[in-house]
Amino acid sequence: MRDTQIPREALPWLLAAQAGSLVLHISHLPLWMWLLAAAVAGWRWLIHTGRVAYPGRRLKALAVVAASAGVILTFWRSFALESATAFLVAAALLKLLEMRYRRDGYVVVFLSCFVLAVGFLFHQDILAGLYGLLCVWLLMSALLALHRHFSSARQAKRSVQRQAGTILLVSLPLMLVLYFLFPRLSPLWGFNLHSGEARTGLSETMAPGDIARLGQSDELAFRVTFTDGRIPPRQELYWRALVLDQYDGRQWKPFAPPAAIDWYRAAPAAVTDDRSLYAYEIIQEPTGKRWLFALRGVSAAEAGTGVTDQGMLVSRRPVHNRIRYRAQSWPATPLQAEGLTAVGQRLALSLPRSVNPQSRAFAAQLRQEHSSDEDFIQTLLSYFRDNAFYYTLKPDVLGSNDIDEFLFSSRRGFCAHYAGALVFLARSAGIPARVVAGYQGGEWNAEEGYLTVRQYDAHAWAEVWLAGQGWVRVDPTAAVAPERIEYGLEQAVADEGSFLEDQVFSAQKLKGINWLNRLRLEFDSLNYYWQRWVLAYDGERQKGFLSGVLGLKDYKTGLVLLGSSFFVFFLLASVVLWWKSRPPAQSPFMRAWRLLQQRGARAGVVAMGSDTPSVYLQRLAEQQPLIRDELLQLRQDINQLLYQHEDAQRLAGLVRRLRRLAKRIK
Amino acid sequence: MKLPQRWQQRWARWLDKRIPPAAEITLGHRSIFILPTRTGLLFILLLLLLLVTAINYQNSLIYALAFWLFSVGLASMLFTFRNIAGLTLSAGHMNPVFAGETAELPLRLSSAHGRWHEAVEIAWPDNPPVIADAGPSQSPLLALSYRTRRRGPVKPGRLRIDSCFPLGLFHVWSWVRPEYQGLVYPAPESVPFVFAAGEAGDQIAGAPASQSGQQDFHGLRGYQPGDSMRIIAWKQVAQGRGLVSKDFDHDEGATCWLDWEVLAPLPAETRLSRLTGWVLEAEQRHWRYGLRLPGVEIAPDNTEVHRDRCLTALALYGLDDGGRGHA
Repeated sequence: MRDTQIPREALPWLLAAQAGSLVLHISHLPLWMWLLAAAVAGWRWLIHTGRVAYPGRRLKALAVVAASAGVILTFWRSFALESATAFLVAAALLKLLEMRYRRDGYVVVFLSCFVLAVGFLFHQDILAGLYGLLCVWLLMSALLALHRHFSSARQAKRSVQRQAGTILLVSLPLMLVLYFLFPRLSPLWGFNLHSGEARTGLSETMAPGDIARLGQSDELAFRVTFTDGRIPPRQELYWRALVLDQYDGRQWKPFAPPAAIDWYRAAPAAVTDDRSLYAYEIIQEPTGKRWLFALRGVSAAEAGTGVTDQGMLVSRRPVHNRIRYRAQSWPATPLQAEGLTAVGQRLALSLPRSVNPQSRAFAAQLRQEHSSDEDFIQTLLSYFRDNAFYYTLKPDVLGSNDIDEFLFSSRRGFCAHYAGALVFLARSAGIPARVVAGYQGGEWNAEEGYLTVRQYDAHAWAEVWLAGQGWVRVDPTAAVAPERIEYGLEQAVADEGSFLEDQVFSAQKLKGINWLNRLRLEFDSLNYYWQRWVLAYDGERQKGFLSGVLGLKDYKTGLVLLGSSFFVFFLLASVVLWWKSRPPAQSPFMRAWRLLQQRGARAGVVAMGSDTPSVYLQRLAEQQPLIRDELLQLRQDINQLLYQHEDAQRLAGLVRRLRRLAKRIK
Repeated sequence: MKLPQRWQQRWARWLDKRIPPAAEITLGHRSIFILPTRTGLLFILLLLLLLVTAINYQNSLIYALAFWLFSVGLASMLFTFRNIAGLTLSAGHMNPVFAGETAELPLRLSSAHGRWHEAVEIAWPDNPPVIADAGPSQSPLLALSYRTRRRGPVKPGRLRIDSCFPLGLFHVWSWVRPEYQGLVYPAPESVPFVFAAGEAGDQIAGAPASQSGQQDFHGLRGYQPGDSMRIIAWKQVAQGRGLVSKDFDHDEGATCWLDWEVLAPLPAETRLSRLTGWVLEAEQRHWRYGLRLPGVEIAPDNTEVHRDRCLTALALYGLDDGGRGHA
């Protein structure tokens, strides 16, 4: 390849395309990277205007070393997606400094494409998608400008951006076909770099104040659609995520990773008309953890998911990307009603020895009054209800015997306080109990028929094991603040005014204004469709699309369709090309004339490009003495006919004479 | 890349059949070749990288980006093809030159379908390309330099048309052979005159002495087309007196025959070169000169038309039409 210089007009495009590809990285690149970007782009611009020269080899080496050192120091010992991205961006930026020839331009454009793709790992919302459109357009314009010949007729030609836009539009249909039909494979290898950034969401351990902090976040947790139209009442929407069965005096946490997991096995789904069955589909934001969200009595309905012995839905891999899964639940099914194992029993009763003595004494006292487990629990609930317990997002800071302090002095708490206290009391009284963390409720979008669950819907409640009934849900929060369960957190803390008070601009706060709220819901629906069709478009959804929309049974048919659509495309293109460039149909006269010329050429009189029929016939006549006179006569007639007037009959006669004469040429 | 002679010939024959030489050629799918460039291969690498990233992170936006770029790649094949399909190349008229000189071969680019053809590179093999755009309202006339080697009708061989517009992922090219109507005269060689004897063995009456050489300055006269640059009075031109030529004493009106036979033992090409030199010299000296070649005799005269006739006869001598030699 020759070293073609980059056209001057292409440089602004290249700089813009590269800058564009960086925008999605604003949230996580260190500040100095932006200074580097500005410096490098500025330098390259000065080279362009002729004020400085290209940096020498030594300076370039120095820049590479400095940038690498900068990245290493900034992300010291945290090798995550962010640091790898920073390296990539630094490399792409420094390439600008030696962007001199067209091939360097290619490298810059291709690197920028990849930088844009990596940006999609961090941001995937609609705006990022729309921005991606703009960025691809910029990148293609830059690539096109690299090849443009700028010297002449600049005004007359279509602009670079229009041409690039045309190419992008033309390729859009094929892109859509590929997007919907290309098989979605499972990850090729397990190890991927993931963002090291802390995510908002449930954590594996629960200290009393943890969930209250989540109450301040309106980030999306997951969305649910109920696939067969039966929707549980709001009070039943307990999305279980984690069982916290171990208490260390301060925190609740899972005792051990789930021992036995019943993985989903592909089996033909039995068609049931079970009224108590809820089938639903969840699109879940990444958590970085393996737990999934499900209603009680769940059974897995999606490859890669399974149900633990505690009745929790889990994923085979940590959920680093937004996923979509189906599940079905029979909330009425008793959980471990047949009895607990010895180990399970011990675990569900274990408490650290010396904490919260007051609470223990209180439990012992109550126990004497209520020998039945159920009575005992009911009494606890009425205790919460009847005493001046206060449901708040701003609980007091508690000391070392936190449950004692909560129950008998502060009496201000969020769901985790109530759940923890109830389980502690139950265990003290010898009733197996555990804390369950997850989400409760959600916002129902009636128009589109889906439920949005946000971080502030995070909730903790208790489960106690009752003989004959198994694990039974007990939610002390419902006793203290029934509106939390009926209407959601916002209503529950309405008096306090603490709902999302840390967030100045939150769309959730606009619920009061009617039309703004409608707008907010519309935007949420848009986001929902974006998630459903773009972000969570995976193998399963693809199967559904193939069978539902296109009526295809399986992949093979899909692949055949994909292959044949390519085939048809190329076939059509070839036909069109052939049709456009087919030789023009010739008149009988021209065919007869060609024949004469061919015969003449064989006899040694080759037609020159500039020969008129008259000249050619003259030459032919000189060379063919036998038919000389006839040829000369023909010449005269042709001239008359061609240049004077058209006459179909005479033309036909002429054609006949031409053919006859052609055969007589020797 | 040098192919063996045999293959080159076979390739040339195949090309002649597929893209026959013509004065005006419109590129179509029969005459256009297309292959991905090295950049195109790099692009495929980028696509694979994007696809693997999309699969491993299960990221739909990256899937979409990869598929879009892939589709753009495929579409660019079509766009690159269309960039030279329908481009019409018309050979213009070439002014005669002497062998060894560089001829300017005019080539007009125009668009057969009223489309833009951008950044089209046109070059003879081993020559730097000319880059041009042609469009609905723009039909540029390119002057392609071509170094002639042999006398005879000019046959510049195949011209390469290249383009990788718009995205550089595909490269289209074509080999066309525009037919130029033009002559390459033999390279003139300057040697003293040797004149043919007259019919009686004498010199023709009024024949110049063979040494009749540089003349004395005689005066100034108006410029006449055909005057050599050497005799133009540049000083006077610079003074704004218009084009004037210096007039020298010369043996105006002398008659001579420039004869193939007097150069008898020399090889044909050398003889032609010397005769060419003499024609030019005699023309400049305003002699009436005639030319005798085997089978050709041109009566003495002194006009530009006469000179061109002589030079044409010299250029074409011994070449039957359709000679395949490259000029």
